[in-house]
Amino acid sequence: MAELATASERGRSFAVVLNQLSSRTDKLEGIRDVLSLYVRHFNAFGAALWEVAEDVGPERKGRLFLQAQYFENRDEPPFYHLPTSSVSGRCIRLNEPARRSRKNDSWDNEIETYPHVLDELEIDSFVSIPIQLSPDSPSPADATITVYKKMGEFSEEQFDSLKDAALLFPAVYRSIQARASLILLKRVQTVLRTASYIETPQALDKAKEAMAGVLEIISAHFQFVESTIYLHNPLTDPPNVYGRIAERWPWSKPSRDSYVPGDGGTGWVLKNGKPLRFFDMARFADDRDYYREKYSDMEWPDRVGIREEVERYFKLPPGDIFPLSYACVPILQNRTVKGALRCRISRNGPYHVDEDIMSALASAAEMIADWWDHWTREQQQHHDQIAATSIMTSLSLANRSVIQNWHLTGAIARIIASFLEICRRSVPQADVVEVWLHEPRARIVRKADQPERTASLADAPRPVSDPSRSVIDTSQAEQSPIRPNNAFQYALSTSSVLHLAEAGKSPFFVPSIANAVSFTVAPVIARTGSNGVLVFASSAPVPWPATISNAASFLAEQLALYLAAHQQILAFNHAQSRLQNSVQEQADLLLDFQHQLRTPINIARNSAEQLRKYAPGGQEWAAAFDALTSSTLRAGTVANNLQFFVSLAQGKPVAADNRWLTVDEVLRGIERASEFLYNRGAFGRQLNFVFPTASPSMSITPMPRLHGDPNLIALAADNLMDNAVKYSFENTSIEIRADAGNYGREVYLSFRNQGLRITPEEAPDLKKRKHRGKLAEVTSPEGTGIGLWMVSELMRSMDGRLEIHPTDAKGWNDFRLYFRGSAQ
Amino acid sequence: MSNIMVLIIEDDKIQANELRKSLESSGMQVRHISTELQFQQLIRESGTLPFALAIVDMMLRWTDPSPQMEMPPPEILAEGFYVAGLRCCRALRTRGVKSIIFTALDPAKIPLLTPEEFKIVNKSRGYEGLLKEIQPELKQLRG
Repeated sequence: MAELATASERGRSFAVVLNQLSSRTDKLEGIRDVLSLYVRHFNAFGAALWEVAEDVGPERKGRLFLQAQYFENRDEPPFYHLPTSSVSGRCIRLNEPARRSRKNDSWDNEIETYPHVLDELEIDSFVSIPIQLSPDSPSPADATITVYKKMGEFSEEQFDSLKDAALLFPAVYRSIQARASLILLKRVQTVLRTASYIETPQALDKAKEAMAGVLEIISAHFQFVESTIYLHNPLTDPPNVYGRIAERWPWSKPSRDSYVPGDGGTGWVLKNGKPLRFFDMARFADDRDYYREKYSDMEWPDRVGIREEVERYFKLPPGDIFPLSYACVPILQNRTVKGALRCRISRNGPYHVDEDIMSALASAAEMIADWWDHWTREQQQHHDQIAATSIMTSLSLANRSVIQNWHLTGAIARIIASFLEICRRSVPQADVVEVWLHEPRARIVRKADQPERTASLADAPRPVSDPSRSVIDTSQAEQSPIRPNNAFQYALSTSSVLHLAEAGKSPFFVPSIANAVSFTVAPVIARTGSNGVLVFASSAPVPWPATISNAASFLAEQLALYLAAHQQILAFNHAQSRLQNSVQEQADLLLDFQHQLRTPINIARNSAEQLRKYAPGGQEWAAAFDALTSSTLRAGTVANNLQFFVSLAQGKPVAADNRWLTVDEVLRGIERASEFLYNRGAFGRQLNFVFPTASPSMSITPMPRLHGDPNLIALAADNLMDNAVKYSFENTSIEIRADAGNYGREVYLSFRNQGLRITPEEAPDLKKRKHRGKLAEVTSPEGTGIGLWMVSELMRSMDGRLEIHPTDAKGWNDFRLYFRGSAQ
Repeated sequence: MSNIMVLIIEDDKIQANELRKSLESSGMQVRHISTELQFQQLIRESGTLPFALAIVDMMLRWTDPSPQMEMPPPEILAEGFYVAGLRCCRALRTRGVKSIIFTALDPAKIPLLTPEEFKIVNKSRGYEGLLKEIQPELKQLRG
């Protein structure tokens, strides 16, 4: 009883010590201390925690991996793994403790695994106690505590005590694991909390320092021989590219470049966003089937250089360390891979990657992901601010330049060219910046080629351009099953910036800018209708982060403003020009009128003087009288023209006193006014008036009346008569007649002459204001070029029109005044 | 007096007739041409010009309308017809004929090389005014 009591007391005492040890341990190394307690308590040489991993190993029966060990006076354990056929393996599978002893150099039961190691260590006895390390394990046992003894064997009592003591281990193990993991994550959190984004040029270096600090904590915790963090920086990295932010080699150095950053197993993690663990690199050949099945989409042997690693394992120089196992967890943010945390295990502490390590690494990766997300967002905001400031500054200068240069010829082309230079500087990722604008004819036209790129990037791609393709015709787009420029159309129809990181993989067609791989297409939507797109293109797969999106959008809006302003200024300039031209025209015409008026006044004055010299009724007197009368009438006509021109030029409507008039009375009035002026005015033309009683062509009797203002008709007729006299050939006839048209709904007066030829092309232009035929200018330089325009306006006020018929085959020019006819 | 011959270049026939009568009544012989083309032909065809003086309208037509009218050379088209009279005056000067510009235009608008290049008489002064202005020239000619 005393012995039993002693054993029981020993057990309680061990439990107390174990509890005290676990309660003050916050590192994984504490597990080694726990094992050492077992060694000392049971007067043993060493103890090991073997953990099983199913499906690995020969015949897929699983394999035992060393998770913790304590052997007196040894840093390195004698072995790292065991097959399930080993004593400990059977112990776990059967959930039965096992005890083996050696007597006379012979074991009491067969030892299949590492007998030579046991011989070398002079171990005479060992005990394996199955335990359930993971509470979630489906099996009653998933690990063993194996205690090794030199010099003698474990007694039955010790065996029983060990069974009891081993039952305490899982709780202690989990307690230490939990506390250590908590401490680990707290430390990681502390490092991350103090490493927020600070707006300095060294911000990224600071971030790398923080990551190095995290790796230091993790490496120390798990005794990793190497640890590395890869992260994707959206501001600098192309899509799917991850920079090596930090790495740690606590006990060694990366003397061999067997690992390519982002390639191999890490590359697989980054690509798939799944965790990867590799139990025993040296035993890969034995476990090949397991890995191939578990990671079926990964080319294991070639990708991670296992063969080289194994070869190196056997040729390691003294003191060098071979990484036993490998863990890589993705750094995920909203299910998007932002990077990876890769670790390799060696030396003390855990020797293989188990679920606890994967869980702790995943937690650390989550924290890093949150921190990195925050960091990159702040970085993004800062760069957005800088970009916005830069853009604003550039645009401020550009706006100033624009204001100064609007009035210059071709200003918009220069503005677009300088604007593209601003875009290029604002978006350095783009090799080519182009503006494509809609033309009225459903075409999108490239407006200006950008100047050659001068900004430099570390991996700056070459400038790309394709001047040959400057027009895209969209008029056929609706009919074609493949729309030729749907990237543009998409951007314009959705009014949103379209990013194509890799255009070749996009369903959107993009303009063929040679060598360009990725595009950002920002719509340029001006209210004036000058729609188009601003295209940023790069020969590299640029991520086009939010900065570029914002910049592109902002720049496109600015361009739209320019275009709208340009349209308005054009309209304003046009109006101003018209006004100036109108003012100038009026001034010129007034001078012309003045001149036209002076001549008859001078003649009249001279004629009046001469009348006094001659006796009334004589030939000389009659000539002077005719000259006086003619010039007075001419002055009156010019004055009337001047009066109407001033009214029309000021935009005042012509006040017409329209009434129904017979054709006869209208023609008689014109005859009276013209007879003296032109028949007796020494102009050498014969006037022939035809007074119809019925419509000659329509056979309408009587001749319909016309609707018009007699004074305006007289003025219009006088202008036509004056033209007929001025521009007809000498000794020809001028014929004035009337007819009805359109079944009497219209009546027209025809003024026909044989004079300067009027071509069909020229005829419509003669009614335009200030238009003068070339031949007319040669034969009558005093003309103002407004006579026919004014006649046209006068006719309009009478609901009529002026028609000018080109010279016919017989050489007749025909000017017709059309009026409403009474037959309507 | 009767040996003084004056050239009138005026495209308005009424004015030309009245001016002719005024000059003839003052004892001068008058020749009238009405277009710049006629003047050019006169220059081309005549060796020595018999005119002591020319009275030239400023704004002249090139020619009268006719079915086969000759068009002016490009340099005249470019310069325009506003200064047709001035072209005539300068051509006459090379032939030793003095010219007086008789115009209804504002004298300030006539692009003379110097103010003294040609005498300008405004038509508003009438034919009497013109005769007064040419008296000094006539006296000089009569010697």
